[in-house]
Amino acid sequence: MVTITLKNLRKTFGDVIATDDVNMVLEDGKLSTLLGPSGCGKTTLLRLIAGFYVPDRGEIFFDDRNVTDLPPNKRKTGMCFQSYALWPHMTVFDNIAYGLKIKRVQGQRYTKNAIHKRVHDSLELVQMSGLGERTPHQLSGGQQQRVALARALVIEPDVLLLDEPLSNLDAKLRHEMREEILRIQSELGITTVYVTHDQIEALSISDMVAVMDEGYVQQYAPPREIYDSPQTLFVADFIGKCTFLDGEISAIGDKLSVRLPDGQIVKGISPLSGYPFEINEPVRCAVRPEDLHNNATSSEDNLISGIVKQVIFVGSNIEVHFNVGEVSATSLLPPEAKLEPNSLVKLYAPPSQMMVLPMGGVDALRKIPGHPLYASTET
Amino acid sequence: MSIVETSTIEEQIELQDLDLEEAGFPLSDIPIQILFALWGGILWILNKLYSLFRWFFDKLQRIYSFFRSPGQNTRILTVRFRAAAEQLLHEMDRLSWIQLIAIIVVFGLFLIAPLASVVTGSFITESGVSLDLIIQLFSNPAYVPQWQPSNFNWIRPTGAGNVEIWGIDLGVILNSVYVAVAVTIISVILGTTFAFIIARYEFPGKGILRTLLLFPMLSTPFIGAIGIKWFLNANGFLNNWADAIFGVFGLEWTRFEFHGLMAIIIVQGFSLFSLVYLNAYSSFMSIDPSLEEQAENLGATGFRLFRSVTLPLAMPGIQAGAILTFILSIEDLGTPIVYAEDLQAQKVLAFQVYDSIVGESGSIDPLGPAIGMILLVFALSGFFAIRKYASLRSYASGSKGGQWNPRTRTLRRKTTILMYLIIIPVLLFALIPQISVVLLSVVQYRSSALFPPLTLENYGILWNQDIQNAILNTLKYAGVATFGIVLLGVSAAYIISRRNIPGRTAIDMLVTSPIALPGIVIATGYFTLFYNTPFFPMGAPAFIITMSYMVRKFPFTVRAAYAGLQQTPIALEEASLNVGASRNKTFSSIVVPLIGVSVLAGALLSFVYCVSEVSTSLLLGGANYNEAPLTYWIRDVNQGLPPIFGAGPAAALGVIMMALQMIVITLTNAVLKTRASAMTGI
Ligand SMILES: Nc1ncnc2c1ncn2[C@@H]1O[C@H](COP(=O)(O)OP(=O)(O)OP(=O)(O)O)[C@@H](O)[C@H]1O
Ligand SMILES: [Mg+2]
Repeated sequence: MVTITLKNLRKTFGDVIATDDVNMVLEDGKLSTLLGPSGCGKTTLLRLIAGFYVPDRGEIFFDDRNVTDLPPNKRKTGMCFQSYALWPHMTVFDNIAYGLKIKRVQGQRYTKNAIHKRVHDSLELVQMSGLGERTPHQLSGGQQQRVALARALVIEPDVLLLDEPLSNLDAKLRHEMREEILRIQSELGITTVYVTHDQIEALSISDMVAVMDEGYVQQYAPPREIYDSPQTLFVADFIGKCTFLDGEISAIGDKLSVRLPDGQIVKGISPLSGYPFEINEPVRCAVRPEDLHNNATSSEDNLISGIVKQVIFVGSNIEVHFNVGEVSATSLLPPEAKLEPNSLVKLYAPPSQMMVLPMGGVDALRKIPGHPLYASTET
Repeated sequence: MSIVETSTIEEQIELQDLDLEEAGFPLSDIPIQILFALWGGILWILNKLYSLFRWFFDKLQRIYSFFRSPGQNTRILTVRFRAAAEQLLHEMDRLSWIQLIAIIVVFGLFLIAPLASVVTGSFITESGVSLDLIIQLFSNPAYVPQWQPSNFNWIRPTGAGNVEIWGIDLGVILNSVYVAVAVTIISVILGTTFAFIIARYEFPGKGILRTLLLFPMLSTPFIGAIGIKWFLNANGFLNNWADAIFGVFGLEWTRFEFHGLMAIIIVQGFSLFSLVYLNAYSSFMSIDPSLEEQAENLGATGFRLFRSVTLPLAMPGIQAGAILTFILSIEDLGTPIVYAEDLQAQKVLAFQVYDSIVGESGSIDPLGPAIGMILLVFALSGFFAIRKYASLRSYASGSKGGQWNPRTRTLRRKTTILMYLIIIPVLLFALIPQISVVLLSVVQYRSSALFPPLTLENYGILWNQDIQNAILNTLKYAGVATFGIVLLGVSAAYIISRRNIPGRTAIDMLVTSPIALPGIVIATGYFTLFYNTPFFPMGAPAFIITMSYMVRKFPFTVRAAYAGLQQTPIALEEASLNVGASRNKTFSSIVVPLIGVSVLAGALLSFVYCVSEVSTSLLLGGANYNEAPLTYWIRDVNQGLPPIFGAGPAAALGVIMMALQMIVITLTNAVLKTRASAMTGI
């Protein structure tokens, strides 16, 4: 229903930079997740969108309206708080009904019956029928969380803001609730921002994922792209597994050549299009475990050899942990591969899967012309 | 199994051999331990003094460094100021502005201005600005420290074979200080002990003990003093009984009575210990049980647990209570007035201020403000220290606290009995102010029988026209003041806790400082500043008394409302805004229901404290006794001639007041539960 545009947002608390340089367009009807480690600024960003914080700098647009200074009660967002924030002096029913009583549709309000019906429907939705007359402290943590979810959904907001809405549920319920959220979201086409630190959850449900670290959005892209072409070392490390090899650029061409400390040259490509690599610049090569194969597919493949440390059987595959010099590396091989600890192993990585990334996270992004962070180096 | 375990432990010990030593505790260590403890105590006090000094010094240095490079600093300040102004404009809406301005006007006019006038008054004489008054004060022999041997003569036998116990007269300033220190020590010992027992042990009769311990809370030293003076008289109740009991065994009992400063210590100690009790109790209760459990889990038990975990966590609360006791003791006017016939009891700061105003008819002795300023210095230093400790306390309470699953221990029968044997006599002593006032109000005048004949004659005073009028006055003033307090107090609490505006701490300080500011100094300020103006027309103190109640009893409601708000996560309000409710709607349907009960409790407290207010009532009431409140008349009645006036009828009025207070305390205590420290205004 609305497209949210964040321009150059920054929010600090005293000396703490909670979030900075945020530029994102959350498209109409799409579900975007904010993913990142604890304390990286996810909640802060969400609260900026909800209007509980005023940014130190930057602007927020809902479609074409600049809402930066609009008070939270005028923004038509439905937020599910990380701490639930259920009103202890009201029953579950009243908690959910509160927003409906205030809501006006074209100047008219809901009838008592309509409110009743909607509250009951939403209770059913979160599998809490019959618990409407309880007060919040008579509920378990997971039940409280579901009431908070129902309260945010029932008013059918323009924007749905969910701050780890499923963190307290068991695996089965979590899965069911996730499906419900997705169903409602796509049925009503609500623009949704979903905060989580569970990467599987983020990759599986989102249209777009924003990976955050230390207040910066490191990458904002569809899930596939996040996994296949991470833009910073942090993203490569945080999403999925990676083996990292440090080196220096030795030649720049159609592929990048990187000299490892032992003199070996590996070839790779950079997922960062437009980054101005320089000769002798220290870089890090990243390769996913499933991209290290035990036989070469073409003559161009990089050879990585090391000493096997541990072999773990993980069902459909075996996970091989081995050391390349000082660096520990991981590879995922078919179960037929016969490997003994302390034996030598030779693996091959196609250059197209060998990702070459510059050191330094956000600072590197600032050097790419055309990137939202380009040249905004002043702090 | 066991073999394996022992071997591993032995291995471990072997490995750590060098780090281990004998854990024995030979008896010879005990004196050394005691010496260490004493030394530790001294270091602790020095350390506290040092940190207080550092704190003041840092503030001074910041001001100084500002003036070193004024140009640059002014620029920085301008930038900051602009940011602050922006913040202010953003956070405040119209209602908040009205509230904020009302608060600042009221406190500016009726607190800051009078205090400022006292301070300036102590530097200004007819000849202009000078230190004359201060010099005059310190050259007055009554004020400077005195060390005459005769002053140390504190046990004085009388001709009738009785013993009088007096205080030691060290000159007015030192007198006030050492009396307050003694009162504080008594209060800390009594208060902490009771608080620990109630907070940590489970035994039959605990409920009763808890209620009894609330009694001292609101009984002002003034009322208590009237009772104690009679109760501990040479021919009073206690001595009569002790004499009779000794007589049964054929022993001779020496009748004793307290006089002068010693009497003040006794009365205040027994009346004020509940301040420490309530604060310590709150602290003990709010310690998260898991903190103590963790320590126990690591092997600490008993005294070590208490000393290393429990006490440090409760310390800020105890300290805050102790400092408040110190301040209230030093500014208490009621007790010296009751004992004023002992000239020694007059030699305290509070009485001297009072005397300088009442003594001169119409005009004020210029020394009054100068003495008042000394009181003010003590009070303000104390207040800042309290602020420091009270803010520390919030760390200690941290997470959940123990109010839902308190860590109590059920005592064995034998221990319970032993505890009763100790507690009951101590409790009886602690309750002497209340017991004696009630007794005094119903016994016949001048009866020294063991079982004095009971009578209700004293309550006849209630039919006195003046008294009825005074009761009405008091209810009127207190009622109006409380109404204003609730209106402004909730606003203040809301602004302090929810509006992120610059100067928020200053507002917080401003509205809570009256808890520590001596009423007598404020009243002096009213006289010097407002006398014969529309605020305080000659002979018409009603308005200014109401305002003084309002300002002085403001902190109780603010603290209670603030406590309520602190327990209400902001997210609850945000959730309401988020679903579209306006700020006003959120305030009325979310905030008010959630903090309503706390506000009610605070309002009730403010009300009873207004009713029992002594120092400003006595001073301002003197302007016209027809408009004077009840406490003024209690003093008048107490000084009048028996049988119609005198101590008995005064005690009867005291009992009425205490009954009213008791009802309110019971109510508020039920409401505030473990937050009972809010009752003391901290
Ligand atoms: N009100 C505040 N005052 C000061 N610092 C704050 C405040 N709120 C957040 N921060 C700081 O800002 C940073 C970002 O916090 P935020 O709550 O956005 O993290 P988060 O990503 O939601 O973490 P989590 O996953 O643990 O919920 C943290 O370093 C936090 O300490
Ligand atoms: Mg968060």
